[in-house]
Amino acid sequence: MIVVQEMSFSYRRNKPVLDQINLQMEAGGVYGVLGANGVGKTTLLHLLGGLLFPSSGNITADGMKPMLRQPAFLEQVYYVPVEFDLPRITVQAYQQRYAPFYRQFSFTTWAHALETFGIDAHVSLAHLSFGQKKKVILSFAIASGCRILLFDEPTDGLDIPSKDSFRRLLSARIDEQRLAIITTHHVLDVAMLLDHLVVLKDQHVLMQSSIEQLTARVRTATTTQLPGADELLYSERVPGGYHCLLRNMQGQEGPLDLELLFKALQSHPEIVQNSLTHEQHI
Amino acid sequence: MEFQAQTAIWLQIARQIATRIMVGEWPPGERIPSVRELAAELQVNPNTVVRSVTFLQDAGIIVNQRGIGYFVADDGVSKARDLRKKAFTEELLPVFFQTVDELGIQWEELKTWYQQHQNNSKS
Repeated sequence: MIVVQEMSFSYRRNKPVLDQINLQMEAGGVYGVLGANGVGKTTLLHLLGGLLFPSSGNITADGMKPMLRQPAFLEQVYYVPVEFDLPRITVQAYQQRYAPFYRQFSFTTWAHALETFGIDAHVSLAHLSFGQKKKVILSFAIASGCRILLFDEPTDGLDIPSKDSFRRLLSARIDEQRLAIITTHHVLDVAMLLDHLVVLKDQHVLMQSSIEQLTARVRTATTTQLPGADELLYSERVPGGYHCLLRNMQGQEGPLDLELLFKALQSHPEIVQNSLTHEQHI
Repeated sequence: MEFQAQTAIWLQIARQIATRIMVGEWPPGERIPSVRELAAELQVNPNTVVRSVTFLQDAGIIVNQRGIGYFVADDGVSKARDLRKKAFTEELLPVFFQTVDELGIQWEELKTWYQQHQNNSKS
């Protein structure tokens, strides 16, 4: 479990990227972190992984402070960055070099993941494309057995079938002990894997909620005519009519298009206060 | 008017499993794939599938044998059909009838089309 309390971080004096944020992320969850470019998603992952230190406030992960970089913490966290440099060694040599740092590393899962992605363990990392290297790192993360998995734009660089493979592999590794945090702009790539959503906006956490709570309150639908103002929260035109974010009036759960929800929150952040966080009395 | 009966993912998954039971993919008494296997196959969060199978269990379509897994109930096939039928009559039919009214389609017209459809599927 990760707890972030009143945590601020700034790269430059008096210009906080994250300003006194609070977050709670439970083991067993898959958390999606959404936010516009430059809002601090990667910074947040760096802070959670102990790569950056909070300017003020606290982070604890399974009771440990990431910034102390204790071995007990480091062997339980794996971070997949957007961009990375890999040594000029074979895929197999890479695994042999780094797997010993992770006590729960699974060789079976590693072999299975590489096979699923179609990566030959005997080739040199120097000869792989960006997407192929990404597959190696994702395979390593999934096989690491770490209790905390941090993914920054995991589907970036993956071709369409590989996105399926990634979802299938990660889905099979989700369990009560593990916490996965995924930041992404391609929310549809991972939407079905998420059970919690965190939206960052203007140095703050605009919203954090389980998907279950969200779907109890709002739903998305495509309609031919614009629904009434009591129900409608946000809409955009699509070829067949309107794609709408609607208040869930009957309490019957519908589908929720996270991309539309995100767009709605970007232009109408008050939706969180009015319709997502408080009980509705209609 | 909304385009189609739009339902939550867990319910879509539950209905899909019900359909697979209805068409005999897993006969009564047989074990269905585990939550983990279904989640990987469908590329969704396992917790979503947990909701789906809990729903199917409450509907009496599958039964849980602790520690072993979920099995198709003896009357699972007919109950799966009931579930699908309920969804059809409550969600698809109202939309269908609304369109019928909008376009002023007569009962006799509908009947002819249905007969045509039956002839087509026979040949």
